[in-house]
Amino acid sequence: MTPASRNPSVRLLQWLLLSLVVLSSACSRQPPRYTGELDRATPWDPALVQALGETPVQNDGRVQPLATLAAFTLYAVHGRRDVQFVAADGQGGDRVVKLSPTEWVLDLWSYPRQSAHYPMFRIENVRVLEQLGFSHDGQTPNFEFLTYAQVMDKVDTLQRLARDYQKKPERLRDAVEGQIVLLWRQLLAYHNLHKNFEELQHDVVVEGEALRSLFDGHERVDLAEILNKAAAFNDFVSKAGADAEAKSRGNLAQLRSFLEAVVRTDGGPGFLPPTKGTDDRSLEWLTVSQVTGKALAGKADPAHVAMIGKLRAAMMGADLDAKAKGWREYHEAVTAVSRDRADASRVATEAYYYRANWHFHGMMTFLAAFLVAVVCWAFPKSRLLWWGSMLMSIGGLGMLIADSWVRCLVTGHPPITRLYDTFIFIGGVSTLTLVIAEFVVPRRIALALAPLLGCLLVFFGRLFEVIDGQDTMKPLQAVLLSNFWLAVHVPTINIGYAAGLAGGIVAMVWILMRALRIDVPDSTLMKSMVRMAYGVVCFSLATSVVGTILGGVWANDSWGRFWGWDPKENGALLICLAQIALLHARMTGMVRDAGFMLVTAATGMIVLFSWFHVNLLQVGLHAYGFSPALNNAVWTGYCVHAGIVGIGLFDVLLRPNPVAANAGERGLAAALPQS
Amino acid sequence: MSTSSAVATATPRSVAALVVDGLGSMRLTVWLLVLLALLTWLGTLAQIDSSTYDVQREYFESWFVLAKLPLSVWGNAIGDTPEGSGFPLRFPLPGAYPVMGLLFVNLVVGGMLRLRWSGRNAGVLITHVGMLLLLLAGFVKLETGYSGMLGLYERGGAGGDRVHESSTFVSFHDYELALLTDKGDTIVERVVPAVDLQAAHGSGSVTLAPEGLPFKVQVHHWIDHSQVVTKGAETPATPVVGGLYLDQRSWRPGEQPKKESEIAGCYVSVFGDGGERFDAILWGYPRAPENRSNYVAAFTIKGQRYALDLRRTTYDLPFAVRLDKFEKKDHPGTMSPRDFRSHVTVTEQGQSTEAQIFMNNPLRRAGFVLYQASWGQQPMGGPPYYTVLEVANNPSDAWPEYACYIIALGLLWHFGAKLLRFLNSSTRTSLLRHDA
Repeated sequence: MTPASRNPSVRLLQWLLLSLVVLSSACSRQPPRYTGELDRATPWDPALVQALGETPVQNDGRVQPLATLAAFTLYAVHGRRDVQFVAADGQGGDRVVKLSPTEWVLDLWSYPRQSAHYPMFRIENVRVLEQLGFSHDGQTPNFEFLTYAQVMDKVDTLQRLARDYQKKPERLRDAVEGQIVLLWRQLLAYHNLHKNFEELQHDVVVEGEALRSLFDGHERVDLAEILNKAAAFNDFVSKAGADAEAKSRGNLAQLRSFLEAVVRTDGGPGFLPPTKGTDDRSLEWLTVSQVTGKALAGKADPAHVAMIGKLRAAMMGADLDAKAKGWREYHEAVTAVSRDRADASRVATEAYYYRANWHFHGMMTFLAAFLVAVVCWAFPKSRLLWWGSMLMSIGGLGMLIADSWVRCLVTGHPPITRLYDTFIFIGGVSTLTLVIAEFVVPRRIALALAPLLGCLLVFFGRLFEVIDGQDTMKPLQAVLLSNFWLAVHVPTINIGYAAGLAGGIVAMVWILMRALRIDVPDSTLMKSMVRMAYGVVCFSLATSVVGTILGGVWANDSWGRFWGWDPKENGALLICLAQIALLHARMTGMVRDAGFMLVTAATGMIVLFSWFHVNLLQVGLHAYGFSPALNNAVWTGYCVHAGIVGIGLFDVLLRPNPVAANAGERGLAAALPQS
Repeated sequence: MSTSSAVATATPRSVAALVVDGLGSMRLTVWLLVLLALLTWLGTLAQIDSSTYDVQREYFESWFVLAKLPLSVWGNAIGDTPEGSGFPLRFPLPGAYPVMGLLFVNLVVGGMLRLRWSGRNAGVLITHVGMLLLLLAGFVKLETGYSGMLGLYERGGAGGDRVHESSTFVSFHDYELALLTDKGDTIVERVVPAVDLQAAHGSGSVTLAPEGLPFKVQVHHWIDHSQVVTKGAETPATPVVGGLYLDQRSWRPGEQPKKESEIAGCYVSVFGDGGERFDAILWGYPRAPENRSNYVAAFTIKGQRYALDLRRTTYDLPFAVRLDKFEKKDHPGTMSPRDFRSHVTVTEQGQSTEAQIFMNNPLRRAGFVLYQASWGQQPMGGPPYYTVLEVANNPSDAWPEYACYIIALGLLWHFGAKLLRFLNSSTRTSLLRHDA
């Protein structure tokens, strides 16, 4: 009998637990502190937050729920899915405040003074603080956070530095330069949302009896009031003619300057829906500044003016209830107008998509399936555990399919249109590939690897979503608007990537099992893994080759050339060449089991290069821009792959033909019986 | 005697067999594939610092390449010069052209002729046929295909010089030097491709002696990517002509060089047989579709008017294309186009037909394919717009698509059959057996 301490399954469980403890301690940090008193002491009504989150707005060329706009702006600004900080609870203690993206934008617009002091901008390197002229206590394990108010204090320095550093190619900037440019972009993203309703947050003094009489004798007016009286105001302006400076006209010139400044405000999202043309999705939603322009031309829609009045109440209400009432009325007004619009159902579906969060549930189900599969190793005779893990993996897969399906309904396109989609798709397909491999060769290795790979890829997808900070359902460029090719080429090549990664992970586990002496290459378990990897590589090759050629056929249809040696094309070709070479080398005996598994593991790096790295090279037709965080992630992936392949290579050179010393050292093989 | 003669006759056969063995060897396949993969990887990374076109010529259409490992792919930490061009670590490799050629031969010999033609190998054979067709398509395209662009303004827009209709198109990358002779009612052209003027780079020169004409033309100080600069206090490295000189134009730091954006320039000196001399700067800035005329250098010798024109290589179309209307629709609230298309009229032998060219919907006619490539605005911005159509002539246009179907069929057959055999084999049963 194998002692518990030498049982590989127990050792594996110990390692897993230790890793989880280390990971959770590394990831848990104390939230930053909010200094001062909160203007809003009680939370927003959750029902209002949900309703407002589902309110349609037009942003980046499409109509989407407000929650989507809020979430992606928050990702871009804060790099997290929520805002968390520690604040005084008013009773001498502290409390942790956690805000959802929608709550954050509500604060941004209704409590601008408070939100300006939220610790939003994460600074990872204190040299950034030095360059901006902030004092600091030196580099600590915790990140520093700056508030909007703090950054605005140094905005001139920041702008100057960012402009200088932007002249440098992104990949040649050092960490500090990169972060200063990033901080500048984060500030712009924050500011773009912040400024949307800025003009509603101020009053304008009205001077002169004649002018005041337009506004019921009020000494101060706001934009909403002016727009309400736009007809009388325009009449007043036309009568004043060139005499706007005259004393009898009060401060008309100043008022006009204010309005002209509002009209000049840059676009931003459209919060005011078209009131006509319900079937036309191409109609533009309006901003407050556009409606102001129309009002000054005597063409504003009263419905829009009324909505602006409600927005004003939401911004400047006396207390939380008054502000909430304003938001509620705005939501009702927008919903009433946009209910019959062609894109209303898509907005509702999108709101459901983010609420349902199927991919997150899929990821958690995969994690559970993986843990059950690990337990299954410790109880090898249990069919219940095998089926439990398998069904959970299939369930997780179903959730990813549901996720992709709902996305297709929202975008109106096949499952992959953005880089983000590839994570979910590849996560699902790689899981499916290994699930099938487990059914073909049920040795409980693929049983664990299938959900593990799916879980990791969905996790990385979620990480990418936040790091990238861009709407993942953005409208496509004209060249990509071909559902036929999006449905044929893109999934095929991504199935190739998925199978390549699946083969790679089987090979990496094989290498580690050999190197860590968990099992010997001659065991049926190890042989079955080689066979499994071989089958997966064949599948990957077939889909990669067909997918790559289909890509060329699409390119020929779009650009007039089948092959242009573009980095993305080359990446796909590299996978094909590596796998064809590998299969031919296996046939000739140039590589045997160990060589086959080493190259299969290394092919995982080529998949990484093709799938991701070529997009970061900033050349060719598939350059999606450079991000230091993504670049680091890719290089981390390379290092992990290269490390394992290196270990394997070293092990093969040192021990070309390892033989089991005794039954105990057969280890995991003994724990994984015939199914 | 008989033994030695047998040896003597057997030796040539065995050499031939050895060659066939070598050419058809699967080991050779593996090494060629590895070599091609290495070239592909290096050629991809090389695009960080060079234009795709140059890399294509250097790595993939050449017989030999001095490959560079651009360490700048690692960021600025390793081996970067201040300009970011990377540490010039170079090593010699055969170009992809001979590698793919050899792969073709290897595939024919080893993958077709020497492979046993049996039901078991049917999938492999079909796949190899598809691969051969694919390689052949690439070869035909490389050797016989050509492409370029055609820019046209909307018909009816303002501006008399604007090009609305054309039956020619110009190369994306290549230049030619044209000598125009004014014959009164016609212009006679003689053309020298830029590839024949390579020696005119730097301090070299090329002298052309047009047959039957009373002068010679010396081309010198050729610059691939140039700009014309007004002479100031500086001392230029190139001659000054009429207060102007030609200077090297640089790419901005971090900007990827693009061959199609390069504007070639050169100096020409005309020496008449009677001792006349004429010097000029030729600059290849393309003015069409804004203006059909180019920056030509005109001169007169013995009463005959001539002109020299440095222009992108011009190709004829067997039909004329006229842009009737350019349509562009943006995603709402953005400047990002969701659709842009050209409504054109194609006239061939007096017959006119209307067509629409837009993304993923090219126009195929008389062996040419016209694609919607780009668009632009008038110099002052806004409409009328002009369209840029890519024009390609490729005899093997549809071959890759056929190859794709053949390969898909072959792989499905081969791997499907293998999977079925495995599922019913004793190998699978033995793999499921627990080790003793």
